[in-house]
Amino acid sequence: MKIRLPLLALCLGLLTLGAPLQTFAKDAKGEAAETEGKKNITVIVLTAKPEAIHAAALQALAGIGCEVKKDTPTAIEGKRSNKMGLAVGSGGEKLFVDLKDKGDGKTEVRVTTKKTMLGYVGQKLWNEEVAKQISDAVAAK
Amino acid sequence: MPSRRNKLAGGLLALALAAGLTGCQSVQPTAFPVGTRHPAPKPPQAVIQFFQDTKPARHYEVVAKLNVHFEKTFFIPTSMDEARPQLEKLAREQGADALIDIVEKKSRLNETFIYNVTANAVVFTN
Repeated sequence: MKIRLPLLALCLGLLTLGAPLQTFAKDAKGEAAETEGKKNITVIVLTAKPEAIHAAALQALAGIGCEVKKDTPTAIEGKRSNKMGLAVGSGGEKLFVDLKDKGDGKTEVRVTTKKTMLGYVGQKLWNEEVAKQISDAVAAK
Repeated sequence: MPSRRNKLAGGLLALALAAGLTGCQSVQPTAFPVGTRHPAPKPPQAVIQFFQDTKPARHYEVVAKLNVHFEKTFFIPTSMDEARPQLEKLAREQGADALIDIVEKKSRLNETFIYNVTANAVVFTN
């Protein structure tokens, strides 16, 4: 079968471009038991108030190129912009940071990455990295 | 002579390449004000001092944490020369005199080169 290179290149290009059509992961606010242990979710408990962690979370998201789309005291949502490349491009991931006050000065931080359909191949799970940056920033205070 | 179908495919490919060249990079400058001091923004010509490996001899106070994030596909790298104007612009917006604690991070994701630089924007207090 003859491979049509222009069409193949166009298909690859379209895979790396555009807005997300569908997400694969469940909603970040979905059932906790169902999402535990998944690679796209990192849960840590820090000894700090949610307000203190909130600022660190915003900085951590900026550090990976996330544009903040939603920002409330207990939930932040960001998205990395899609970039087209030679083959796979990058970006398009959505990041969610949810903060829950656990009492005794402790806060649960749940970081979730959602890959999106377009550009899926060039996307990465950022939740571990973001959680580490938040943890480091809180520890440094 | 190229068929109509080949012409169409070529046109679509050119369109995709054009879209790719314009959508292959992103720059994200962000400032996070800190502390209680919020100085007025400085004019565009104001000089911002850079203290890359040293600290200022004068007393200072941090007024903001700055972050500039670059991502470029097609294996195109980014250097401090490109980040510096962005940092200066952010610093002026925050009314800062200088930048300290400048940290560069470089990484790669497939064909995307990622360059992130953070700095503390400070005002001199004496």
